Amino acid sequence: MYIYRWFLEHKKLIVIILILIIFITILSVSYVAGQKNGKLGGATTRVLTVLQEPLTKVGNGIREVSNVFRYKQLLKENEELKKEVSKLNMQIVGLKLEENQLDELKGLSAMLNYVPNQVDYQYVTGDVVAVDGTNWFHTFTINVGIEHGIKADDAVVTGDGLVGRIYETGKGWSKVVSVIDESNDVSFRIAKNVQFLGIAGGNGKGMLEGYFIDPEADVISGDTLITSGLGLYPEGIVLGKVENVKKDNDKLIKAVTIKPNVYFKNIQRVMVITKTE
Amino acid sequence: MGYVVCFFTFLISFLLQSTILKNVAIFGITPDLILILVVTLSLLFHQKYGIFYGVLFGFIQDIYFFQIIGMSAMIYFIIGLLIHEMRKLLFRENMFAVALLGGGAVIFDHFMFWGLNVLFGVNYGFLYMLQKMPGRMVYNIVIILIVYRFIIAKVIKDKGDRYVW
Repeated sequence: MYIYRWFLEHKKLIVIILILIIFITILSVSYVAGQKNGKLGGATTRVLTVLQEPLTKVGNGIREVSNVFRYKQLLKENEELKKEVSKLNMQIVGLKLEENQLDELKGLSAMLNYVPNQVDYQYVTGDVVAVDGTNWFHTFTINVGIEHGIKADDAVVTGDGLVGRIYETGKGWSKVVSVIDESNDVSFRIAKNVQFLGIAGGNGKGMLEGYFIDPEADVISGDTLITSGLGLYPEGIVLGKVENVKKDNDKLIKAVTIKPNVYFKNIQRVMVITKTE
Repeated sequence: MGYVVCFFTFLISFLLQSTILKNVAIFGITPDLILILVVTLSLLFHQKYGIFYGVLFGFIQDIYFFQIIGMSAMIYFIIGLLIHEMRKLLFRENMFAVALLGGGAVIFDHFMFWGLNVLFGVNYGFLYMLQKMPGRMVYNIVIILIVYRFIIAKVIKDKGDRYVW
């Protein structure tokens, strides 16, 4: 009787506690079940993506119009890009010479019956239709999905380098989680010297942190790191630049902090690299 | 202001936040429109608009952007509930009190979200979160005050109306 009266007197408190229990249950189930939102989640995402796509275009349009007022800065950028183009043209000449050498080596490997480990990739370009507006993470949604052959864990890149991976996909949409938001390990090498391997992951501070397996790895601040091809990501994608190097004598490793090449706050278009079966 | 108007207000805010708002970001920061609506509506109205739609759009936000579902919904629920209880104790036309409450909501939101993420194994630096908080707090408080004044101006047609809500 007392219990019944107590329940009647504390109805509001009991309802609040019950709701909180439901929330904790949903959180726990979602954590255990992984990243799948189910059919309802998929349908919600699809409907919202359709609504968000034109709005994103309007937003990008506003940004383009505002560029008119930044013409001085754009002129400066234009000059810098012209210099960059001439520098890249010089590099192309050098690469052409190396290409000829590569052809010769390929001929040699064919003669020796060498069978390379060849994986075919398909490239799908998509527009970013929605970004996580809560400022917590750098997750976003793109307007291409399973109908283009995109699968979970496909690599996502821009012209600047590695963005992250697909973590969920549906018809007309795919969700991308950035490489700095995950502690999942990315295997990398130094671009100038591919023999040194390392492993890195997001450090929870907007950058990547990792280490070289060989403590004697020849790495200095400013070195460019690329993906090694081991694990999720295909080989040769620019990961970022080494910001800081620290040798840990106790653990016999060389730790590095890596600044990603991609500016995650303003990505408009990405390319998804999918492995073809 | 009814439940239907509130639904569309939340929906438009969610859509703007995920699309156009990134173009008006200051130092990469955008205001959290859902949190702002939860705070203002819970404070202004005795109906539970802020709590109800905070939970609904919290879930939508979780489904859409996060890998663990329920975090935003639960945080918006608690913030909405606390503010709804506090509205009886506050002089709601004092803008300083509204700003203080808005700031408190942002701090609570940050600590809760960070704590839940860490609890579920997401790597997010505590100092990094603290560094980001002041900028987000200022931006959100400014928008809360603007939205609050706007809703008051829209809802109160007559001087006597202020005692209705």
